[in-house]
Amino acid sequence: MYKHILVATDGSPACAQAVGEAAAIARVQGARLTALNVRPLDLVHYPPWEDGTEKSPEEKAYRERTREDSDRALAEAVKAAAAQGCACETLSSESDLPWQAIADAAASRGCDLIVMAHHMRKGLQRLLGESQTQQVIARSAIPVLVIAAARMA
Amino acid sequence: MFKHILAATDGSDLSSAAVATAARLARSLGAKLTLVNAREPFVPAYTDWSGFAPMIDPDVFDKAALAASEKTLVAAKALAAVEKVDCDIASITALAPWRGILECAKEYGCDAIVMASHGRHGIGALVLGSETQKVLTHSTLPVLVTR
Repeated sequence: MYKHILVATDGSPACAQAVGEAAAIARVQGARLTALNVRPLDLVHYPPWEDGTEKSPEEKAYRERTREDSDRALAEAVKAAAAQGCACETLSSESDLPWQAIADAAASRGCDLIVMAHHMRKGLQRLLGESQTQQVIARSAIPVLVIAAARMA
Repeated sequence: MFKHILAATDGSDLSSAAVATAARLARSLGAKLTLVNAREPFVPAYTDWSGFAPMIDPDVFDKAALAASEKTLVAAKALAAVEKVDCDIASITALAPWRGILECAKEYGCDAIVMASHGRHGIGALVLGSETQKVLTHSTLPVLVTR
């Protein structure tokens, strides 16, 4: 039924659960699975320069940290998928609008299902922050499977 | 993997597409499928002391609501049958459809919910349909939101 599933992950346990579900479905349906991690672009402190360089050591450190977090999140996703007996491709992109990056990735890879955790942030941030999942659902032309892992006991 | 999928329908075209998706998913995963439609219980809108306003007989209302609900579900079941999937149907009363859907999922032991992003009011005004939004907010089960 589904040929290419995209699962978004930020390395959190909630997302790990989403990856597990995505992988289980992919395995049963013989679908490709791609895990996506969106590195947050901090436009307030480090807006990208036109020539693409990093102007300060703080900026360099920030970008390095996000790249490390991204690699780790994707490595964990591959592991979680393997535990379900499913191969997993990885994709890392950088954006200040995660929902946009997710939607773009799904479109560019020709995915036909997006899997996301319901919430990626905790506590007050969760209530005040914008729900990336809701933004993806609002704009997606393809189905979105929302895993409410964070709410499960 | 999902063993028992619950698909919610309000009879709208978008809902029907969700039912078809749920049926295909159930078939591909070898899962059971239950369709649910939440209908309104009879709630008197006001108390009229003047005696001029026509009172709706609660029984008449309930019968009509149940009939409409079952019609929706029978049509939805036919859609599932097109995908060669057998399913149970459940008509429930709920003041808040989202609550009814989640309670139904719990009662039937479902492990996933499928519903359309929008229902009867269509895609126009809201970013996400109101009941779908509430199901997403309160559900502990995975929810597949179809377009």
